[in-house]
Amino acid sequence: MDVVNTSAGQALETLDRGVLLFSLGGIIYNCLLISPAGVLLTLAATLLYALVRNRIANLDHFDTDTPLPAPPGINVRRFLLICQWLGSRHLFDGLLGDLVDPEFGSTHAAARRHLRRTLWPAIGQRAWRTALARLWLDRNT
Amino acid sequence: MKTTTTPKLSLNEAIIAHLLRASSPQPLFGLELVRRSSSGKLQLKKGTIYVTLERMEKKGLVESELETSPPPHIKEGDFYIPRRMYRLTPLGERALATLEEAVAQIPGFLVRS
Repeated sequence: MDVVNTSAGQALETLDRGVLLFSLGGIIYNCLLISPAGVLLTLAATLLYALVRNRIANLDHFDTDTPLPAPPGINVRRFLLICQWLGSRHLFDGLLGDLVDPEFGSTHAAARRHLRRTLWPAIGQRAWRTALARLWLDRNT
Repeated sequence: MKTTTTPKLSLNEAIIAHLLRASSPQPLFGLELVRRSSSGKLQLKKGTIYVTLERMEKKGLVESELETSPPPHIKEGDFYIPRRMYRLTPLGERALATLEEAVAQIPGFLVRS
């Protein structure tokens, strides 16, 4: 995600890495203890941290002072929140921009179907890529 | 751009870079990139294109700006939001050229099979 101050960006990356490594450690430890509750709590804490941290870091990238567009059949506030959680302004502009196309934005059902089909793969790829990058496993950086 | 070395391109990034170079100087939006890739064997997916484009912008391979005027099919009262248009940067062109040079080194029998 874009952070104006480079050193702050690096500090946040270090924090993310620390949280992710401790989370993986916690999951492995709880697996050894055969504690599903422990695994779930660790996962929940990590997920909560990731969502809130992304939202806070990207609040400035989503100018919410200007009126939001009203795409057909889409709750744009909920969609904005998901994109803030993912920290992706490109996803917000891109998927809403797709609805300008008559193929996807002509009816409410088509718009909802398009967002449903595209948002889940986007969430998956974003989470996977971020985790790889934080664990120094991304070869294309 | 702080990095001096040419970044490596993933397969999807290479397809995007190739399509953007082919359309240059005309910028393209994400859905158009997906459509143009559908004529080839390797296709981009609607669900993941924007994550890849954002990643490419962070690497300095592409730059984006919002559309300045609506497309002709938009009538008054239709939903419209300016679409994000992407174009290849000089660094992106260099990365694609480097990749093409590397691919050219691969023996022909491996590429054709």
